[in-house]
Amino acid sequence: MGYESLVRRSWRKGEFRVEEGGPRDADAPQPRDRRAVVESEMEEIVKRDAGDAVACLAAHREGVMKLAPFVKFREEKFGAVLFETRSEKVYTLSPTGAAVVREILAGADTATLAERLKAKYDDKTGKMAQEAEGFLAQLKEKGLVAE
Amino acid sequence: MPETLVKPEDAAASDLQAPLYVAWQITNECNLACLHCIEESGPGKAFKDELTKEQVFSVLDQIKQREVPYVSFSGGEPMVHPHFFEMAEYLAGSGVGLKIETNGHFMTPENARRLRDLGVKAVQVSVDGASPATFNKMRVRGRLESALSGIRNLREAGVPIEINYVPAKFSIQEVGDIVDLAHKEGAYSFYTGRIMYTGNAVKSWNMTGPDESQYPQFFETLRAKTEEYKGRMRVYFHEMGIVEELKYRITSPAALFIILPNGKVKLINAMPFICGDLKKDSLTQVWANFQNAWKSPKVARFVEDLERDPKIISTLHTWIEV
Repeated sequence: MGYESLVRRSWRKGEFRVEEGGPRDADAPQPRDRRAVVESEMEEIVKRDAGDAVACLAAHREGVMKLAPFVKFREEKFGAVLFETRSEKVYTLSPTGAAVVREILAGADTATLAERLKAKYDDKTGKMAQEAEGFLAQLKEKGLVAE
Repeated sequence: MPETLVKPEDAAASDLQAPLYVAWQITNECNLACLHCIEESGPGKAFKDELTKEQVFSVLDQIKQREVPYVSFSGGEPMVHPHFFEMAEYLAGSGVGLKIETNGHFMTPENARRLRDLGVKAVQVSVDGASPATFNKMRVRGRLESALSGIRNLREAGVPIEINYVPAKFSIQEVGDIVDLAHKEGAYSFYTGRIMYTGNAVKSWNMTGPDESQYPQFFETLRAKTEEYKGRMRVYFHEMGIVEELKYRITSPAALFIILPNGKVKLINAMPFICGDLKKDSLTQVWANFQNAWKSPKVARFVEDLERDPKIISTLHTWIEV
């Protein structure tokens, strides 16, 4: 598991500790040493990104989804854009993607998102809701949505 | 689901209702007189026709109304602008992401806390040397200790920090040390690239312009540092020369434009073309002009000429309306 994945997993758990399973590399530092290094680095990042961490934890505790603090959303003719201002990356969204983000902004959580979309867009086949689930996973993976 | 990841400079500008990023040089006045300043800023260098407070706030209103998500204030030195904090409060308070590009010399603990309280997304501080000998030489009237003190105040306040570095003939060998310094001082991003032959650098080129033979080692160090700091600090650098960059831009204009201190709007900093004037035109009009201006034959010709004679980049301040 990569370092960033460790950070995300630990943030999801609400505690800044690293516990990694899996096979060991004979040449790698001993687990205790490695954990100390990673924890030290995590603490540093957590301090720097205090805003993100606090927001992520707050969203986690409240059980809701929110756009991450450094993410801006704007509707466009083709759908929408998400702008991650820290990395200055832009994500262009289709109309369905825009609909998903609108629901997140309106307070949807993971459990209700699909139902809300089905009802709102008369999604009889469930195709849109299915796409939305995959898209939501991508948003979370990229750190654009905090939950 | 069609979802693509692009940088703002790669976002197709023609599809967007407004820029995604506005880089606003709010004044040309500066407390320093750097050898390489592309804006030729310095003490007493404010434009005579800089935007009035009323005009400034009209532009800010339009930025908010058009939902521009991200704005940077630079200069000159933005913190010497008489309405700097009012402008920052006005934008940041309405949810627009705001970045400040500064020399850090006015970043007192109190100012750093004010920026923290406003929720600015980042403060970028220029650090053009890892030692007082190089920094103070490049940033005339500046002091490395003052910049570092400003950075430490930002860190103490909890403001996200970016460090920008422009290499000179006498400092390019310090690049590795400067990346290390940036991380040590708490930066989350580090930016660098080639020094540009324009502005003050034209006059100081014999002192500042690195020899081409110095660049391969420079970029090699940066690639190594990018790996070294992966996951801890982002190291960004542009290896591409300006001609290659502009050729690419002609086919894919950036979703950002540059507002000069007098309200004129430039297509891109590395070209002399003006596509509007926010004293007279609305931001919407300027955005429409911006998209057409990139298709102007004058723009294509400038890039062709630049390829033949790289030194015409020194004419950036002789503005041409398109």
